[in-house]
Amino acid sequence: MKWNIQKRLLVLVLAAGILSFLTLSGLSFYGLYAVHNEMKEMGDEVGKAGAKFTENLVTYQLKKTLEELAKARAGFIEQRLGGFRSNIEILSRTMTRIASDPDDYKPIKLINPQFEPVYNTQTYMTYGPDIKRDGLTPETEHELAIAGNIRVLLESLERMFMEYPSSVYIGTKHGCFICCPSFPDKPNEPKPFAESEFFDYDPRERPWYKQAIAANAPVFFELDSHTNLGKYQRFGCSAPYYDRYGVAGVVGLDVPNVDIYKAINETAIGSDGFSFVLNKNGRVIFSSRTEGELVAKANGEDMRTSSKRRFARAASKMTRGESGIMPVTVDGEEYFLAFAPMKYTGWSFGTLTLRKDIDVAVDKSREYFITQVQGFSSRLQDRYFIMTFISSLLVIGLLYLLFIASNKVSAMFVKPIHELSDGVREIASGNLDKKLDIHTGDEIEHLATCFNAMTDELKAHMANLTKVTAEKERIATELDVATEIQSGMLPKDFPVHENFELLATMKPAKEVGGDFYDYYFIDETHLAITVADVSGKGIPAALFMVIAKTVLKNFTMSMHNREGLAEVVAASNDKLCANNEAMMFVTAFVGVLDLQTGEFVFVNAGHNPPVVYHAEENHCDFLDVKKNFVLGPMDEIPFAEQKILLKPGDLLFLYTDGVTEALNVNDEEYLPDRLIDFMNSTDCTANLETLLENVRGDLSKHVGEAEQSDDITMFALRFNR
Amino acid sequence: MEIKKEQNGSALTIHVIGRLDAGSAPELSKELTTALDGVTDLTFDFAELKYIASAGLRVLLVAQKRMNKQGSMKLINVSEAVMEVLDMTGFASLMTIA
Repeated sequence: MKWNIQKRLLVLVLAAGILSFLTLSGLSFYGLYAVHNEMKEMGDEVGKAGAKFTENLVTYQLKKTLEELAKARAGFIEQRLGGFRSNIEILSRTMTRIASDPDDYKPIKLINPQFEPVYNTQTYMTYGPDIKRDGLTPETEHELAIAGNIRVLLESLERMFMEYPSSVYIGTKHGCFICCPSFPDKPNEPKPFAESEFFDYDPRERPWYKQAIAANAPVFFELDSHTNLGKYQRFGCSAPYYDRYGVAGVVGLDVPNVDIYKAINETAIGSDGFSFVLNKNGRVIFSSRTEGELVAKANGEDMRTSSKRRFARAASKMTRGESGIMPVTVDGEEYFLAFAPMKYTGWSFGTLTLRKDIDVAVDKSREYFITQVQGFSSRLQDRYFIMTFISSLLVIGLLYLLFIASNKVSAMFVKPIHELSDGVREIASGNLDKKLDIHTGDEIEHLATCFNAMTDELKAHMANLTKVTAEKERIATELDVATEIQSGMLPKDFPVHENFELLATMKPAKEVGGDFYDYYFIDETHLAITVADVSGKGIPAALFMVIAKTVLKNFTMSMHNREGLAEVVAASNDKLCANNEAMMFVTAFVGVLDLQTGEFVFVNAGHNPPVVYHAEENHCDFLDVKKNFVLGPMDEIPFAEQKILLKPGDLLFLYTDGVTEALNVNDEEYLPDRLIDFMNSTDCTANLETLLENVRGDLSKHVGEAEQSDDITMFALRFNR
Repeated sequence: MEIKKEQNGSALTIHVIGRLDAGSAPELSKELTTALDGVTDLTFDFAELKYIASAGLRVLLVAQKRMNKQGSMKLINVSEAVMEVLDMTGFASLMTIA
């Protein structure tokens, strides 16, 4: 599957993006999940701990409240009792003043119930067993009449309690009893009396009298020994009073405990709660219960000795004047007992609350708390799911955006590449003037710059190549021209003469070389011949060849007949040396044949020795030549001239080193030995064309496929005379 | 063709190996134009020179002409084939061959 760069980039960017997204999302989801779990766990723990704490707190608070309530009620009862007590104190002080200063008062005769009816809130007096027995002295009568003054106070005090059956009364030291009763049940009927009450009732024998005398202070007492008046218990408060001789009697208040009862009753908490008051002796003296273990009754048991241990312990604390709250069992039910002392009386107030009521309250609190925590937990759960949902949506949205962005980015990335490839295509199609105009500032711009540089170089190179090619073509053309000139300078009209035959060929190498030959008549009987080889190749060699050929011919024509061949060559050499800074030189074999005698004069200036064919012997030899120096480099040097006599049929074969040094593919030279051997083996009497053809043939055999490296010149001259 | 040079102070020995023909002669010529500066004693060692063409002779000639001005030049270890060319062209009598 082959993807283009855009697709790859897209996939790369996308993959990177998706990977990051997924990693981040995974992390956030994991984080969310972890937080959620942690919160849930914490919620559970906080729920439990909180519930426990709430339970404890509520329990503590409830207990505290109950205890405080007990204290408050105890205080309230105390206050009420204080009210009674101050009334009793007022009564006691007033009675003391009356009894102490009897002269300040007028005698008042009170109702004697034995003879008169007593109506509601009327004060009456009975005389008691002592006076019945001993009779009434005038002093006593007077004293009692003075004491009658208390009637005003008694009646006003009694009116405070007249709603309930109650009485305010005084017992004197004589055993008399002054009393102001209320009986709201039958207020319009006179108070009924038993016969015994008129004479036999002795207040001094009553507990309220005795206790007050014993305490010599105001005392509270329970009236449990009295008739129980309906559901209310009654109680009283009494205090001694004095005359100038000491204790003169006791004043007392005998009221129902309605207020206190109400206070006790209202204190009760819960469905089956109730309250009670315990006296110093551990007996229940007030109770909002009318039945069961904790009713107030005469001669009730001492609760401290109760068989119920916990209650007994609580009762002990109550009688010791402590406050607190304790669990107890009453009538088979579990209760909390809160209690608080009452100082004046030494009693203790207790209120009982059903334990299950408290438990219910505590449970409710705990349940409320747990509900709250669960609510928190479920809200958390909801939030968690919403967050997860939103996050998922966000991730999907972002992925979509990423896809779009990646697409754009990769397209953006690839755009310059497209531009580049379009541009390159245009350049490739031949528009080298096209410039890539990409400015992305990155590697692509660099590439484009490189392409532009390459295009420029290509252009320059092509221009250069065109120039060089043109140059080369020009030089090649010139060389061709030179070759043609060279070859055109070589004479081709071989003379037909009865005294000799002559034939020459020059086969130039690929590049223009420096071989040349020449022949011309000096006069009617002398034929001059030249075979030469200029050093080097090319234009310089060709030029030097032209000069050499011209110089040689000119000097031969002008000088030969006067000064001989050696001088011709010497003069030519001097001429060629002039201004020859390049040290060009030419090897030359120059000869002159006397067509009548066959005498052949020659100078060999550094050239290959020619082959001579002796017709008589039918044999070929190298001509024995003197070794003169080449022409050109050194002037003013002498040249040796030689001569031989050619007989009819003799033949001279002249050549250049192109023949003897011709190379085969193995770089082996043809060599002079092979030449002379071939010349001896072939028919040297054949016509010259055939002869040269045969030599060329043997040479070709040697050379084979190898390229010709030098000009090959052959020159044959046969003397026929 | 291959050229090896041995410089020892102002004495220079040049080994020419292979064929010194029209193709390779310009190379030697170029080499000599710089190599001969300050040389007073030039030696061509032709022990491994197989062939010398006229172009090669011309290089020798240029060198000889220059060395005539600044010192001396000699050819050593000249093979038979090369000697034959030198002989034939008259170079043998012009140059010091040891």
